[in-house]
Amino acid sequence: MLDNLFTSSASVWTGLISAAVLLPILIHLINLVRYKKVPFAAMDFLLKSQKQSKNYVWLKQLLLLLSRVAALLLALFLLSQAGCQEDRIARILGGRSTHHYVLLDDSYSMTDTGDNSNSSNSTDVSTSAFDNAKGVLTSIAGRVSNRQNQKFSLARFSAGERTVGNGDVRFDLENRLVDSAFGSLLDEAKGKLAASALAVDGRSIISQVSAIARQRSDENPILYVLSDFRSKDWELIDDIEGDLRAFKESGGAVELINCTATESPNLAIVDLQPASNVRVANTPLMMEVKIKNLSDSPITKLRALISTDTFSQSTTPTGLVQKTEDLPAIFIQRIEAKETITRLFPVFFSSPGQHSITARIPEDAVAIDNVRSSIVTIKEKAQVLLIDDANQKHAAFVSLALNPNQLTGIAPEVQPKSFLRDVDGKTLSRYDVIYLLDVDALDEAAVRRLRSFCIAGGGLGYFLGPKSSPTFYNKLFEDGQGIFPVELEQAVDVEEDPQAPSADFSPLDHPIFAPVLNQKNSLLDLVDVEQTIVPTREWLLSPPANAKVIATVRGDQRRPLMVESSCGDGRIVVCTTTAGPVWNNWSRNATFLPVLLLLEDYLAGGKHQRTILTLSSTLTLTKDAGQFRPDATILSPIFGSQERESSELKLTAVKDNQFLQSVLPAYNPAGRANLTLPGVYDFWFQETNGAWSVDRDAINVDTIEGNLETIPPGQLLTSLNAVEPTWVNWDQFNPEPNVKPASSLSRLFLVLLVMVFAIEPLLAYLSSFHHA
Amino acid sequence: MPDSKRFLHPEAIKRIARMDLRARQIVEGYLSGMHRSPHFGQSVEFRQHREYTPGDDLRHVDWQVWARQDRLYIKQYESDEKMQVNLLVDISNSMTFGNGHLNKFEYGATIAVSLAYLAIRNQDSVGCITFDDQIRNRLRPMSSKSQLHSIMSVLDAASLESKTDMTKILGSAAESLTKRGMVILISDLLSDTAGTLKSLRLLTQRGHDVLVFHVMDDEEIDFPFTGPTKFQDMESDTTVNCNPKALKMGYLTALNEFLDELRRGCAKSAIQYALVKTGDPLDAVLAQFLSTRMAM
Repeated sequence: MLDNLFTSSASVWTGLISAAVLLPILIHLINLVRYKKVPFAAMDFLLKSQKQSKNYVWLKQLLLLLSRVAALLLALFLLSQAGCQEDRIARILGGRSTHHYVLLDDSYSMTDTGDNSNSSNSTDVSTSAFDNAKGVLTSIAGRVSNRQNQKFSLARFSAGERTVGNGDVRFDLENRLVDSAFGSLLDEAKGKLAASALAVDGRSIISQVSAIARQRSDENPILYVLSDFRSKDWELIDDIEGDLRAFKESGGAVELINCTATESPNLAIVDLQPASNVRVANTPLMMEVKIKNLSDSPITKLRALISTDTFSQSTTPTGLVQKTEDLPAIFIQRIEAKETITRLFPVFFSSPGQHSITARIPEDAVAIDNVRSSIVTIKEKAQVLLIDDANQKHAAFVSLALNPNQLTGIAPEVQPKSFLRDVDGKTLSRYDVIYLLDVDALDEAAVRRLRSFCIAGGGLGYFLGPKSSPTFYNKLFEDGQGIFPVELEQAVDVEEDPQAPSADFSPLDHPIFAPVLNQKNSLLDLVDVEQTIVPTREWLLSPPANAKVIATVRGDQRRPLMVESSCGDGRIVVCTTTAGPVWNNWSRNATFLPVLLLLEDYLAGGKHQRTILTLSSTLTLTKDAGQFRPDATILSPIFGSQERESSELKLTAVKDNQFLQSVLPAYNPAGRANLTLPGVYDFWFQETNGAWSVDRDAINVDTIEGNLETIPPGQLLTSLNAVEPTWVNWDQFNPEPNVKPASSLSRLFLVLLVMVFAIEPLLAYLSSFHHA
Repeated sequence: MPDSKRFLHPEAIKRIARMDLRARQIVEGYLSGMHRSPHFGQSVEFRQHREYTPGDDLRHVDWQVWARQDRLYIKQYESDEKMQVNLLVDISNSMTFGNGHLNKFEYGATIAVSLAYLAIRNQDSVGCITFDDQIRNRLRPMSSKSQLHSIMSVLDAASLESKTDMTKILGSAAESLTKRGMVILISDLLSDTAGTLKSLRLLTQRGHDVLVFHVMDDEEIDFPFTGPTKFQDMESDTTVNCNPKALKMGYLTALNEFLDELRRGCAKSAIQYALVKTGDPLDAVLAQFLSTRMAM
């Protein structure tokens, strides 16, 4: 009842304070009137004494009166708990409302259910940190419901990451007056609350809500932060401290409520990707999976389950057929604490298309980072263009090496150099790699196409020879910016030297030489190189920054045998000798085949630039406006028991209506495209002729959130020393507002009141108001 | 305290309504325990013998008669001249103050009658002057027993209404009392102190033996008042509204300065000064008086 009274309007406060001030004065005046009359004879002495003591008596009486007024005022403030919550007495006197801002951490680490690894009872239902936070939310609601003139706002951390169009924070409950309908509103909002799959900290939402609260200067704000307080989010918090300090200085109070009890062991699949760049149907593709132990103790005997999803070549979104196949599990004996372990495994797809591979590890404290998906685009064949002259004395060896027994899925196509002059860019883009085999020169149109091809990611492999004109290739050099990385001098013989310390073909550390590198008595040592084209002296002295020698003749850096470089997204490798057995016998050596296959894989890597999409990433969809319609359909992934759901998306025209584009927040629970779950998404686009095409992407969780290390409360409170927040664990949060630590102001009131109570009797005694 | 003196306390004296009986009680009660006789004349001429009674001064026993007759007789002498005692009793309004058993006037009047009784018993002549700002009544000194009743009548009839003008009254008394004798002033002396002392000095200069009984109430001496109090001057319209405790220190300081001034002034002029409080036993007053007489 007292709370209701003291949180009422300014008029009530004015009345109470006036009474506290006027009451002692009134009693004092009444005391002065209620004197006793004494006829007295020795008045001269009394008058003399009065004359001497008049000012002193007046002063004592004034002090006595002030002490009594102060005692009443202090008692009033203590009784009303004024300052215990807000520490801003002056503002309370204005009859302000109290605004409770609840910020709920919905990052996926909040799904931490603790260590389930030892749980023998499968019926145990562990509560997650997020469930704990919802319980605290109920307690806070109970607290505010017992008071008057209260407002309530609720926002999740993820709302700070993705604001609505005008930049405003999207609250789950915003500025709601706590009244009789508040309970049902909160229940409805709580029903919709769920932890997200996002790795998000509270920086953005705290900053935005702090700014909003500061703008509402007519309220007393209290900020509740319900989080698991992981070290990664709360260790370096200068910006958060600044925002909270500003919030505190504007009269706010901060309560930090920790919703998790312990640090649980957690594993996460941090990466899943193809290990090779030749991705064709009916040919095994090596995949690489990385699993990280994010806990402080080793994990043993871990099984990673692998499955592939093969999608049919459907013509419509609704006609899609998905075929799942489980592959042999990967067994990992032991992963040390904080260690990331990498395993390779083969996958095999019999049909071209965009297929997915999924890796799973057993459920632990946080389940969502135990699954990871990857999309691989499988082609019918990996097309390679070989440019050679009519007799194809080089192309024959290269073709044989790239596709022995028709098992590699690589389809070499030999064309004369005139092909490059006549072919269009689109046709050329079908090839992963183009090899120029002792080509003397190309016309300018062919050079332009090669340059465009390379910038777009296509690989270029040069094998020089007797016909190769240094003058032509030096034009391609373009001071190191072109599509040929070496400035050539002339062809030079390699003198026979049986006493040479190393073999003619001396490879350096590069992936294409992996099978022959650091091997004693390698077959590569049998390769005889008779002639190469050497670089100019200037090039040797200062080669371009992106040019790197990866093999030499007999270890002589002045005679590079192979040089790699890049242009745009494309990769370039130059071999200064011939592919066929003209200036060397390498093509007849057993190492030629594996090195050339790895060279092909390496050069094709430019076409498979890796883009890692997480739910925190921005996803840009771009289509040719002349070919596609603006309407698109998004199919969400299968997640748990949740089936694929379809949502619509409309692309907007950009660049003078040449393209259609949509930039999506990959995580946008309130947006048009419902991209809230990790997994494989289908983006279906309809062409102007009515046909459908699909872009398939795997969007995974950001595994940094799986690090469940929590920050020690002492360290956090030290960092936030100026904010003076209160810290409490979720299970110790007190829903009753009456029992709360006294604020510094109320402690001050109490001390002052005790002092006044000590001084008042003394003053009263001195002023003779108390009878002996 | 002897039984006889138990009755000299103001509380006991107040129960005796008649003033003459009061005086008798006081004087006889005081004297009954003493060896010395109340006869205090200074004559040398033998008058007669009388039989010894307890309390007689052994110095006056006639030992020769005792040797001859084995009986104790006292030698009595004829005085040269009777002592003239003049009582100056203050009947101003301030003398009515007192919240004890006797107010200042009642206490002073009792002293006056007791002294008169004692003097008449000793065959001295006693006169009485009552005054406030002027002499209200005057009885010429006489030694007859009826004089005691006359004094009592004068004191009974006193109306205590006016202020005191001590300087004027004492000056007038000095002029009118032409025969040397004893002048006993009974007053609270709440008047012009310097003028009072000057006038008293005039009396001594005229050859009078001056005694001052300064009567004050216990509340005037101790000032025990507490709580908001409005003090009303009994001789004027002056009021003081105050918290007495706050003024007590200053009041007592001023009072003590006043008493010190009186004591010093009286001592300087060979005036016997006695401060009597209305709560004191009345035999103390007689002791003061008799000690003075013995010293003479």
